[in-house]
Amino acid sequence: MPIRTDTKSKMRDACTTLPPVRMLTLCAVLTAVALVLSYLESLIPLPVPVPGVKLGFANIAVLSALYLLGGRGAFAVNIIRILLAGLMFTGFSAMLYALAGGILGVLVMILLKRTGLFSVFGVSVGGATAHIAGQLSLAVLVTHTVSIFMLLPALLISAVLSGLLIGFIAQLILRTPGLKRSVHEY
Amino acid sequence: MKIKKTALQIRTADVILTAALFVGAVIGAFFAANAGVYADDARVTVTVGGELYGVYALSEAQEIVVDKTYENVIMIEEDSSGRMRVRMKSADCPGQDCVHRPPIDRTGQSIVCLPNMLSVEIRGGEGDADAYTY
Repeated sequence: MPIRTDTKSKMRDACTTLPPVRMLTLCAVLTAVALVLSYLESLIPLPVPVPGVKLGFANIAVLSALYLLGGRGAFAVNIIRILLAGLMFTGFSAMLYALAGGILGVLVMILLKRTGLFSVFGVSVGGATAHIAGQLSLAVLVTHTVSIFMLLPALLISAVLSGLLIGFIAQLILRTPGLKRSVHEY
Repeated sequence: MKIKKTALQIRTADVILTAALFVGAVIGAFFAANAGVYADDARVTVTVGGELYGVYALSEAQEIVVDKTYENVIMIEEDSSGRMRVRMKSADCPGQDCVHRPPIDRTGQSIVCLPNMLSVEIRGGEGDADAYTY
């Protein structure tokens, strides 16, 4: 039941313990889920005047990958999800910003999980805030306009709230009886 | 494998991280909401792709048309209370985020159109120091 102890034994090294084909297939499945979640989210208009406020549904799949397949799996799922979403519906410009946030976000999530101090909630909230920070930093670099950081507080508040929501959903999924076993036993 | 129906797992570090980020963000939001001053001689700086496109006086109502990758129309105008403000009147970028941003009227505020790499910023005029020290 506790996700933490599992990570210490075999989950962290899922990438090395799982047969490559199984790893590839599970990554592909979770990427597909993440892509659909990205698309569903783009259909929900949020009535906020601040650009960049998102629910981050796709992170449910990324968090699942992180806990079931390890850091490399989560990284692959998130990056491929962003590239495919960029080609299919968000466009090149939005894809670049999503990449900046996505890379930073997934790296922070991997690090937070490695510390062993956080549950899915902390990892999710940390990832969401890092995602925002990465995107805003790229925007500042591209436009040479430091005052973009004025948006940071509002975006942080939304990231913390959506991070908690996504962490809650991910934890419900990861608590499914037999889920982790089904990844490793076949 | 027995699964106990336990409450969701929340750990001390989660609470500390979340609370710290949230409190920091709320404090930051308070400062951001009150940042900047109304300066009569403030300038409106338009930057495209990191390079200066033009500087305009905030006191002078006008329409600035920037025609690069996408077209952005910036309005410097008087609001209902007679104060000068800047807003993005229109843009043909896919997101329309910049058009939906609230108008800006104080120094340090900005509106950004990321697809066009365009930013509009109000920068303090010479009256800045006086305004800060009241």
